Amino acid sequence: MTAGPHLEHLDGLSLELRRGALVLGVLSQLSEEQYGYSLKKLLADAGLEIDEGTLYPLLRRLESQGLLSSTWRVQDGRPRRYYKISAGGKSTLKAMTAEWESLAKAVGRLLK
Amino acid sequence: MTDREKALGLIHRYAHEVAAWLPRKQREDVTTELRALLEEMLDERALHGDRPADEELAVAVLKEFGEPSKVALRYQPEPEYLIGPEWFPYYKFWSLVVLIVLAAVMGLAIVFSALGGPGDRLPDLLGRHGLVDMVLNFMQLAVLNIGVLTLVFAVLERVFKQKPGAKPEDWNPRDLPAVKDPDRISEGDLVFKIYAIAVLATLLNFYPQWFGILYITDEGARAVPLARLGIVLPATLMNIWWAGALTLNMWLLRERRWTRETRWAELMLGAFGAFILWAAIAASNLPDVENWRDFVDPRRVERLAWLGFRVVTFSMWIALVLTLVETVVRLVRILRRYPVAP
Repeated sequence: MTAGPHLEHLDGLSLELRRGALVLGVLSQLSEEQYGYSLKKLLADAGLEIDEGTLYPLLRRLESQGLLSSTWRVQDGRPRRYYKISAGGKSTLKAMTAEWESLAKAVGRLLK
Repeated sequence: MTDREKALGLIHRYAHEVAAWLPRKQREDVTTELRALLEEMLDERALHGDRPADEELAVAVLKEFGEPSKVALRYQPEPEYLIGPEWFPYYKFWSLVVLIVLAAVMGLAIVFSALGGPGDRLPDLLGRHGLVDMVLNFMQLAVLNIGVLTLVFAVLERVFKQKPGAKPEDWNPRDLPAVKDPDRISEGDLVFKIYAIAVLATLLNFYPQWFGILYITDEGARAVPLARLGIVLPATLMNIWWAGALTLNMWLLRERRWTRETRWAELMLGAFGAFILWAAIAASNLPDVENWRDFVDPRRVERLAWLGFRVVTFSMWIALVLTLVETVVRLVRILRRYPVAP
């Protein structure tokens, strides 16, 4: 028996696993204003790689859900949209962090 | 044009293409933001890779970013459906039923035409031209019916999305219906009624010539429309009835339960339907056979016109009696189930 059939859904499963973590990561880094590209670098420096085609739409979605606020500003001759966590985003982040910690502990125990 | 200008032109086209998939109010904003971000990505890659920010690098950056339609999809908070996953199994089932019924009706029509006329017509009917006609007729009917069915389900999808109080947290196990619950609706029954009403209303309004009796001549089967038979259908009243019946069935589907009010509405619709039938019978008269002489054997024209008129009016009388009986039965049921307080 080959490993192939077991791994064929790995990409989809990994994506599912990462989805919630990405939202948490993004919200956690926006207590200070960031624009898309600077946020990507910030996340990458912390070890959370996210491609731009996923990050930029995610920022818009979080903004439309009221978790982020944004303003346009011109910097270094470029127009940039700066995002910052909103009051609603802060309480969501707090709740999600608690959820994450409890989940991480439980899964950690299960995987031992 | 410099290499950098070419690269920026490509980015501009890309941002515009992504935005084209998004709602109009978002487009300008997303285009500006995407352009700025992609230009920054391009310059960053050029700086770190020690290479020019040219078209080739822009292609690599955009390929990595993703196909415009897929990127646009990520901007949508929820996927949009014409017919969503909740309704799709019903849609698939009824589409199949409609196609099977149409095929069966066409098969019966062929048998009827083959047996109903003089001589052996089967070789003509199943010949090359006969088969082509058959396939074309089937396709025409199938497209019309599936089109109406799709429209019905698209409306259901939207009506249900707006249903108030449908949030999961509002769900209460105590509200579960009893196993034998007379007020429970049958979803399949209602969906079929909505579809049938929509098809009949469409056909009677736009293709009234399809309704009538079938007359077999030496040249083949011919349909005699109701209007030529002297049958007068009160179109306005019928359209009011269609609208009322559609509204009631959609409402029931949305509320998922019969109530006293909807039972009364059903009763009133039945009575109104009976009135329409009576009005149609009263307004109809034996046809002027002069209209028929162009396509009916002159020796049989009067007999055929009389027979056609009587068959249709007799059917309408039967429908009227059945509707009245049904209305009385419904009235008795309502009065028993919801007795009027003294």
